[in-house]
Amino acid sequence: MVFAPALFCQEPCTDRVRALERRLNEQNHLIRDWGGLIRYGSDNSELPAPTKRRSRVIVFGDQIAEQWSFSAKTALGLEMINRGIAGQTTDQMLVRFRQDVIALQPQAVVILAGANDVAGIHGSHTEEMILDNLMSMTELARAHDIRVILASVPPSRRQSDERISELNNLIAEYCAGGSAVYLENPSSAEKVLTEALR
Amino acid sequence: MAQKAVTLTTALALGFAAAHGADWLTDGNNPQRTNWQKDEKLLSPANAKDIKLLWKLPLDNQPREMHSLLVPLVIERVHTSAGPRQIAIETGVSDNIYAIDVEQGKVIWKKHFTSSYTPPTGGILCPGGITATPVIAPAGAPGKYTIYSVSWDGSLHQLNAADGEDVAQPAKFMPPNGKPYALNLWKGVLYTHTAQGCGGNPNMVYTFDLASGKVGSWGPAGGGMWGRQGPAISSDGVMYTGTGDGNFNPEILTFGNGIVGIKLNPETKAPELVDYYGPSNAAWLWKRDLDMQVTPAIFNFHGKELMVDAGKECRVYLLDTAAIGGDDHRTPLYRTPLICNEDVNFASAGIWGSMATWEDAKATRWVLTPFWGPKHSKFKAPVEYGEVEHGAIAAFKVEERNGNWQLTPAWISRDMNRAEPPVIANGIVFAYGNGEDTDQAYPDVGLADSADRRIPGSTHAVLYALDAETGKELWSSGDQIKSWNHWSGISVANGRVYIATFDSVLYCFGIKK
Repeated sequence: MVFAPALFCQEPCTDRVRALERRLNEQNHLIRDWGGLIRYGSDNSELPAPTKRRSRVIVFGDQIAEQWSFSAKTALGLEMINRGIAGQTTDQMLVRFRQDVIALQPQAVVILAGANDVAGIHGSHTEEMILDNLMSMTELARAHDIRVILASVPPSRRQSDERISELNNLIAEYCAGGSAVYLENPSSAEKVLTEALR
Repeated sequence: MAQKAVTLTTALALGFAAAHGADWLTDGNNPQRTNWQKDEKLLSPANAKDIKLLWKLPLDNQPREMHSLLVPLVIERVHTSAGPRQIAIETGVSDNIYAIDVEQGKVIWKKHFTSSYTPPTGGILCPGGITATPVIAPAGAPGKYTIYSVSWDGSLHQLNAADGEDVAQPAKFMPPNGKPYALNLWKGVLYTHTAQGCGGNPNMVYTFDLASGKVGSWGPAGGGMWGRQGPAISSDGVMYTGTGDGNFNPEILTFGNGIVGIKLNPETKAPELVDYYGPSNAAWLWKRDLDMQVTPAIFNFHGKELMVDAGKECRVYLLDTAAIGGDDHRTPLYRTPLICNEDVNFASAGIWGSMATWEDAKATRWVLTPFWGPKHSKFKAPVEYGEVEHGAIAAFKVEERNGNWQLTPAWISRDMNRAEPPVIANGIVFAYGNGEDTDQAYPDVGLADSADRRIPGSTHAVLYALDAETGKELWSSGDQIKSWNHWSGISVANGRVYIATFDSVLYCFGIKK
């Protein structure tokens, strides 16, 4: 499909063919590594086992997680490990949840996810579908005695406030059942983590 | 008087060295597997553009699975009944050894090993036949050499290079169909290792003491040992090899996805484990089928004996043979970032075969590695020659800065279709893309690693001459080589470069007189 135009392509459309080839390569890469297991797989194998003296906490999710910084980690004596991958949706995260969270034996995981699902970058995701994936991750974590903090999805200029608000309501409602702790505002992360790890 | 004697001895030695040409008596050219032809005098960067096909010789060897002809070995001067000859020893997988007059491009003699062994079908990983490149050694008189080879039935054969006749009775070396890799010879002892569990045999190290006929074995290693050029041997007589997929857990004596060092016990002559190394991410390598399946290269630099090795993950490791993994067996002197294999492809990317190393006139130590597949997007070298999609040669300089060692990228060659282990000769890096279809898994059927699928997809090999200091292409064989090869290699001696292909044709390139 991509190479056929190249046969008839004059100089002006060469850039377009190259762009299509790049896009094809990106899609091939996505198919081969849908869950993003390559990104942290090797790094994970080099991590030592967690110590009893420091609580290991995984920050897990998409670009919001990847860029998340938590200044109070030293005060709380935490070993914070970032396992965010920009651009991922919750179904991709579910694929790598064992490798990037359970296998690292943390005491807690902070999940910051759902924004890309709402954006529909891999097709349409309803709020219920997103919550299904978050619930699956939570249940997997709890089965391994890992406490779960589910963060709200922050507002975005590109996405509907209504959809984000609906998703956050669903997450909060689920957390109210006791399976996870709801983190509404990143500025309260220290308080929430302290409570979660108590 | 004593001074005169010393002077005379030195003069004779120098005279001999000056008159002596180049041999290629073992895979990788020496026990250290450097792939450096120090004695090449005829080929040079200045005349590389004039390299031509001197001859090509079809042989009657039958390929098995994807194996056909192994790396040609070269003896510069053999005393035959017809006079002194420079001969190439070519090994065919179907239990054949050929001696070829390289001036004429003609077979002088052929030996076929016959036995009553009837092998089971082994598939692509266990082709049967001779899988180990033989090793050749001088036999006590000028122009006299012995070829040591292991046939399919596991017997060691010792042949006179002049006529192919047995110089000793065949002796049992290992179980039949064991898939040994290139033989190495060190102080009268042959070394090899096996992989893939062929013939139902465990993956072992085997040794054969030529003086006593005593066979030794060590293993299993926890992973198959399948470095293409067999083991490399240090100045201390330690045999090193990478290990394939398996658990790395020394506590239970499994050393998969690592490197093991084996040495003969001087008293018992039994091979024993003396050192080992496991990459810190060995668990990941095991999980993703990223074997450490490369023959290391050993060299001296700045007062140390160093070793480089690699694997499918596509990193190069620099190690000190005094303790290859340091005190904890997990810490090399240096580990490069990923050079290729961004997609973690277990079949068509990564480093395969063996390493190469040489030292230039300014005492700069170079390390070369072939790799398959696209270059990693984050790996850069000061000199590159366009996009690398199918494979290339990467060159590094070994450097020590404030006690810290590193491999500094120097150049990356042009794209080559599955770049194979290079050879350095007089300022030229000879390298080739083997043209092999290396895919093992397909969207429609999943894993289907069969010769039936891969042979039709294979194309043809291309041999390249590169400037050793810059990586610039000086010459290529273009489409002169008509077939591809698998699990073979190149050798260089006395102005000639040899490469063999799947269709059992041996090619000889060089400068026409």
